[in-house]
Amino acid sequence: MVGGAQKSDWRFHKRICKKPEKKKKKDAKKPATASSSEGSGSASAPAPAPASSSKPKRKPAAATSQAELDAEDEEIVKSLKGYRYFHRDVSEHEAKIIGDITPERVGGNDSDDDPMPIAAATATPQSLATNSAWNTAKTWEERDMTTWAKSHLESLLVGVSQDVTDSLAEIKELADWDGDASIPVIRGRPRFLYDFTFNVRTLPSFPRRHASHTLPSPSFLWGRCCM
Amino acid sequence: MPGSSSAKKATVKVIEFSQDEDEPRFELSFQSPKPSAVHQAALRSVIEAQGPLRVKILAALQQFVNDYKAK
Repeated sequence: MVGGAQKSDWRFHKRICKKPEKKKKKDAKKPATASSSEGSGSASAPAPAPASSSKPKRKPAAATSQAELDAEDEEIVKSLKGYRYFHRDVSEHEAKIIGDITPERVGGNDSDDDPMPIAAATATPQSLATNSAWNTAKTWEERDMTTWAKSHLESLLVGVSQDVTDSLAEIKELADWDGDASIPVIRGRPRFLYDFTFNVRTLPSFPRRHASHTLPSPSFLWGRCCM
Repeated sequence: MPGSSSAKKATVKVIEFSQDEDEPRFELSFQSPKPSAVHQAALRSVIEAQGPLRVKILAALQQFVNDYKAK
């Protein structure tokens, strides 16, 4: 079984193993030397005469096998061509199948190097309350709206004024913000969450003379007496 | 002198303006230089329940909610 396997894989193992046929020939010629070496023992050195006599016989055999190996090597290298992942020559037939693989510019042959603008539809306010295009599974998405909420509340509230008896109370600024606003989209449904606490600073302008001299009516003061 | 005014400071604290509350709470406070007691009372009158300034602030907050939900 082992011999058969070696024969079938011979061309892949020939550098390590010896050809079985030549082994037989050598075994037929060698028995005397093999027996002498066995008889003398592994510790004792072999006699110089038989060693020198066997060398001239082996040299031409080695030379021929080397020549055969070179020829076989070339055949193997030719047969292995195309199986090496590190280097692969594309044949003409393969090149025809693959075609032209020269990199091409994405988006046509525009000479302009500027990136393509994003479609304006994605930035419209309407899309804030819907899932993103990538979120086809409609998983949780949340958009922070705190900055927008603060600025929008300021735009709505600053400037609101009210006459207060003899003066005007006008909202000048919003300050000391606490809280946030966000739009989570849960299962495709938007929720508009906001929770704020803030200060509305007013600067009521009271005429000095009225503030110092006018006596309020008791009904205006809700029972408070300033007399 | 008519027209001259003193810069008095008043702050209306809007508390818990959120989607869970029907209406936020309002707290009026005064900072130095405080208005006179008369004008403090006048400001309280416009910010208390159904007061005109309070109604205006609530209208602005409702406008915010409408704009927010239109997003």
